[in-house]
Amino acid sequence: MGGVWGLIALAALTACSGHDAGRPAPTPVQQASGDAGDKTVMFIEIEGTLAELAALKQIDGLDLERGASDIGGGRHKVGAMVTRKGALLDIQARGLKTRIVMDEAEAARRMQAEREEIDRATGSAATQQTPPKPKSD
Amino acid sequence: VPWPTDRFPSAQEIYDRLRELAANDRYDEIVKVFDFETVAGKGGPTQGNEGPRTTNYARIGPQASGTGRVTVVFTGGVHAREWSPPTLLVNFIEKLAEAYAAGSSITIGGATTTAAQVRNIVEKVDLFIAPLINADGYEWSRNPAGERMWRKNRRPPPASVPPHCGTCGGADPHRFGVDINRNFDVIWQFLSPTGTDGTFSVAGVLGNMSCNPCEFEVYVGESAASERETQNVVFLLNNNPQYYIDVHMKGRKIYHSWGTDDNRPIPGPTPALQTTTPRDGFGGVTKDDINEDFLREIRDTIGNRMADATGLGGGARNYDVVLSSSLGAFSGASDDYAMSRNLPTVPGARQPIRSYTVECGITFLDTFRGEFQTTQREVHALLLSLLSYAVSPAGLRAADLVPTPAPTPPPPPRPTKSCNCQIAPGTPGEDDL
Repeated sequence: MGGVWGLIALAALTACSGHDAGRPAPTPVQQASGDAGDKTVMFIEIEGTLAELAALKQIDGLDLERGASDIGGGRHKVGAMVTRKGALLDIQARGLKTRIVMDEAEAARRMQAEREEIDRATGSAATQQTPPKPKSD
Repeated sequence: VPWPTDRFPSAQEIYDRLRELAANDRYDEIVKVFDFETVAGKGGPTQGNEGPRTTNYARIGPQASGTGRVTVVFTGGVHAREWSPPTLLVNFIEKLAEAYAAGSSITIGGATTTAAQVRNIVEKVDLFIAPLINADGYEWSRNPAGERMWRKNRRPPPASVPPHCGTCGGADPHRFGVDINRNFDVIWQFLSPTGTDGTFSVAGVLGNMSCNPCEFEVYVGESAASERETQNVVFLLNNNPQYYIDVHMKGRKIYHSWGTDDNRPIPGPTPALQTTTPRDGFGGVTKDDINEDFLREIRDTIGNRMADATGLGGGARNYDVVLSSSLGAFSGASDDYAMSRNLPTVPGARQPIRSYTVECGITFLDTFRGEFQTTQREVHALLLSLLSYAVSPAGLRAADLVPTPAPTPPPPPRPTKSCNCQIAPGTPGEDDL
């Protein structure tokens, strides 16, 4: 987490520390980084134990599905949307196996195609000519 | 505007299509469309809203009141960015109504719902389908000025944020909206009023729930069922269904309750959810009680049946049946709320609603001409399998709509065989083969 969002998260931690020092900040705001260059949209699958996968919820910019599929041997698989580029590295740094279901380029291409379909349907001349930067976080 | 067959429709096209189906003479007797209370539309044009918006739901089946019928509710479009469920639910209404009107079967892949089953479903089920609950959010995810990955509705931010929830700046574009699927009145107060651990541990719900409006995905709102969209789902559940499915995206999974903690199967009746017991999420010491037979029914009997249907008659299923809390506990979701409504189970009282969240599709960006077509077939097959179960003798019995048959008397003992056979202990005998 960097930039302004890092400061906001820090402020949240500070605000909470007064009444409840020593605890983690309640429900920290999971936001993407304010650094536009760090934003992305991609879809992945991750394998691990349930405890390993549940711990991934601490990673900023990772939207984990609600539950994981049992793939045997104590291992589970869960899908996720990545909205911060560094999140993928954070997962891999934990030694977990990942598979990219849809990469950033394909996601951007599909969002642009959707945009153009909507513009065509609504008769809008505002079809963007250049792929938009993914806005999601 | 014709119903689009090459792209995902707008919210208005979805509701127009519902009305068009209801106006079709072929379906006149079995499809009716009703208005929900209007959703907010408070954000003004710059927030992608168009003023108060009327949203609709359909009722399929005999429109006159009757007895002995099963009530089923399907909802979709609770989350804005999930574009497939609203369209496939509208198409499901047409598929079912057309098959009934034509007296024909429905074949999806290698799986067939016979004409007799279709007739049985339409005539014995009061089926309520609300394909698009969160129209404001859906339109925001389609708006060039909006966000494709928007999930919440578009409620304006609250005037203040409780200190323990962190900060939420007035310029933050994510300060709008509430996650409808964390806004239901089931252990909605997940932290203590001061923000210390309450019903849930603070760390345990990280990423699953938040009391900060600026949280992009899982802000629970200012109070339980504060959102009109939530209230509209509750309105449908007030019809006392026996079965409820909330269709979401993504991941090809069928989630069953509880999402609030691990299940503890118990032999006795399912008690009401304890709202003050601290929960430790998956794998912890505390558990949420659930009658063991009921758990087997929702997970193994119905859940597996629906999952098998997603194989489209071809064998391997494409959806897994998964406990909602398998990666951590949360509350305020529609499925847990629905199932909690009729608890505790006591003799003579209404049965708990068999509730599911179905996560269909592969990514939020499934293409209309590509993955969506497969998703639609899978979910239609899944919904038909549930409806077929609901009107089966087992389903009707489970819903307390027919009395449980008297136990079958045991067969008379077979005459003892007399032979000189030598059967070694532990080897199968003739009757075991």
